[in-house]
Amino acid sequence: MSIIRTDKLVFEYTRKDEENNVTETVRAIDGVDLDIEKGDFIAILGRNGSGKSTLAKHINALLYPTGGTIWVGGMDTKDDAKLWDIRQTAGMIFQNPDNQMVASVIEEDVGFGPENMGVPTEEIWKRVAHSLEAVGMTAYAKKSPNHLSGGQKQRIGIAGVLAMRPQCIVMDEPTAMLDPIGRREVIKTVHELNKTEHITVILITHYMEEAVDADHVFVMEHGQVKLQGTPREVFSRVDELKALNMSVPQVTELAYELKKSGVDIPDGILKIEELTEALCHLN
Amino acid sequence: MSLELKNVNFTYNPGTPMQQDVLKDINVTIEKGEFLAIMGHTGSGKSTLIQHMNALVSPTSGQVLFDGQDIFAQGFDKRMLRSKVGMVFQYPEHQLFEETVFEDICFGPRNLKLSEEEVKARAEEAMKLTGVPDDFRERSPFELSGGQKRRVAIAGVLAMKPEYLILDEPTAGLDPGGRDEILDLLKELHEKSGISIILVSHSMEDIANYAQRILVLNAGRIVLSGTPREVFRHADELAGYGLSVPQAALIMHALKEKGFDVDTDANTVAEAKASILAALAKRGVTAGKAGEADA
Amino acid sequence: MLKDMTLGQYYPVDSMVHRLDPRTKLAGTLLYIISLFITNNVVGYAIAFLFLCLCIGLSHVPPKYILKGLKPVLVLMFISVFFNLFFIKGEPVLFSWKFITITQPGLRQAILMAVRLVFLISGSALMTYTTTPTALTDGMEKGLGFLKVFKVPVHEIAMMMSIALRFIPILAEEADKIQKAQMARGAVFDEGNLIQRAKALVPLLVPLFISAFRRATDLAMAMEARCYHGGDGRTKMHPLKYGRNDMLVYTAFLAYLALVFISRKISIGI
Repeated sequence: MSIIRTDKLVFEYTRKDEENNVTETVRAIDGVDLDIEKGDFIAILGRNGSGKSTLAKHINALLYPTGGTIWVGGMDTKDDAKLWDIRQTAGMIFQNPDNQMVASVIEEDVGFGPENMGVPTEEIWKRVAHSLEAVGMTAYAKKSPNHLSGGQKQRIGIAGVLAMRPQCIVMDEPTAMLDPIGRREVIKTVHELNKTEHITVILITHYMEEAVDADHVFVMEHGQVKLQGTPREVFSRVDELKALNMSVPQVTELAYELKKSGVDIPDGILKIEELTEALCHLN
Repeated sequence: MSLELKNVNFTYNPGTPMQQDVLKDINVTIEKGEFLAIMGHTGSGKSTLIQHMNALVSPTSGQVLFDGQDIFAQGFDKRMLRSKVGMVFQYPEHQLFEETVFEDICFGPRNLKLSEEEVKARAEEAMKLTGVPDDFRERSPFELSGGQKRRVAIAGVLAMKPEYLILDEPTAGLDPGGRDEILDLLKELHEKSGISIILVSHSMEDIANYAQRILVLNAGRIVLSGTPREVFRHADELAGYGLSVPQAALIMHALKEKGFDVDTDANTVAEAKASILAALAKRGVTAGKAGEADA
Repeated sequence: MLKDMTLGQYYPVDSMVHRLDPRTKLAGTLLYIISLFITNNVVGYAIAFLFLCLCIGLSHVPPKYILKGLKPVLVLMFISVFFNLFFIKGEPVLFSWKFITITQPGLRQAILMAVRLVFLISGSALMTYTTTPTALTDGMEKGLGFLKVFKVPVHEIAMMMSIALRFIPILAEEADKIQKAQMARGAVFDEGNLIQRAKALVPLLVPLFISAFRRATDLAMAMEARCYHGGDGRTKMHPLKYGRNDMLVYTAFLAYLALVFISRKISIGI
């Protein structure tokens, strides 16, 4: 069953000069067709300005298409009556962890979404406890978010979305402002949620390492999907990725380089063990 | 000519219950013309350390010497120091404020009380050095992309003609293309203009490719120091500090364990490739295959 | 440093005071402030002091923390002492040198005013230390709910306040960073006359405002994404309900107020 589907999705906006004359029309999304299965872990890659964030905001009905259609859980986002259902179905995590926290106590921040949805008080507390546990932050429930690390703040953000019982979480570069420890911590958390809570994850990032374990990868450029497939398929196309200003994990690049020099190893190596294994079998 | 930290300690809120030792017994000399990387996880004291170098933070005890002179001595010209030891902060949004890119770049030299011609000449030069396109001159710095903002921020500091350029996580939030552009720019500045670069970064791959020397900071102490090859040998120790080594180095270690005669000090893709090809040749995996594939 | 500012920040421990209904604490603070303006002699102040100590003791907030919170208002206190000390005329004169005269009523007034300010600020600070901003705004929203009849957007104002409180430390830290970034470019903030100093603030304020606007836009979007659509149909994690302790505290406050009133009649000649 598909959770998110788009049909020739287009989003245009105009830039205006001081006299309010249109100077430029920008097509941020240019005919994107997606069909994302429930329970999948999806990674969307692309350089800054490739349209990936704009796409993310469509899934949460924060932006509406200027052409084509997007369905979230079967609901057309242009249907105003479904707005809150759509936002509850697809939760969103943003880049800057500080700018998405409303409350000064962690558990209250996690409860913010359910409060807005009108969930009864007792049920909110149950959901908050469960969500904090799911992201491993129960010990911090009564603390202030100000003294947390970036990775912990993002996990609180995730708990806040989780408390709304979404089917899908869209993450718009959730690790861009984090250090390597924080990055690992967040990616590990979403993978766990994907497995244990069966939540569809759409991870937008420009760190290739984070896409290695995804079920499906899309690479965007100029508002279009340029490459897609399993990580193995996509990452085997090192030159194309480089042309799109993307890098690949060092192991993939090394394997690719070795293959170019005539070493007989398979395409699309993603992990260190795969490379050592392949090299061992050469004799 | 050097920048030297001698027995530097820094304690936050000394004498209160919130007391916190941020830096402990730091001794380091940075020679002119060096490309130094400082790594350490968040909270290891990196930012406090670099802020000692241009007198934004003064040590609780110890000395900071610029060309042999104590920068915290009475009458030492801090403004001069800050022009010689330039610092670019992590987010360019924290420094850009003027209406146009050009005016913003002029801010630093103007603070040095230079003549207006000199200010403009320096801003021009800084724009050229950092590759800020000419048609950006009159644009607002706020409408630029992340990578462009960083360039302008770096230009704004270079216009003060520093001998040392300190950069705190200059590639955070940039995509791989933008990251390479900024790092290449630093490399060029280092090689062509002879500016010492002090780079604070989390990205081991970047550090391996560019730095000549690495300092590793953990809990306020320098725990490792040396060339990238020397430092990345300590993969386990680094992991204990919440840091990793470049993936290439991990691959080489894994191969060594499997009995390949590879150079475990290789930590870039190019070095790793050369070493693996050599090891394969020794094992008698033929170059003939290579010939076939190339043909 | 700005980020060390404790005034107005929640102090997260669990205590009987922390658990009180925010409306009780708001009303209590208001009553306490009123009491400070009713007292006119040492006995009254002593009662106010003891009562404050009792509240602080019950709150488990370390007294040191409260004293630290007084730092930012020291200037205000000095100004008040200065004016009272040197400008109140009367008899007897305690000290006179050239144009400076200190009189007994002046000294008395200066001390009482300073004490009053310390009590007032400690009392209100205690409320903010023991009440999360959310609870505080919830309390105001409900306590002032009757204003809705007059089309006052009570919920929106409450939400704005709670967000402002959440972002004050973040922006303070950011201001610190911006200041350092500009100092690294040779900017000086403590030189020259008033106009030059005001001008020197531009490189600090512009990035700070831009950042604040950016944060506001981001936050608005994040709130919308989490289904925020004003106060209608919202439920609460902490629905406000008066408990037994609240009634006790109200009674205690009334008793305290009565004591302060009585103290006005006592005169021990100071």
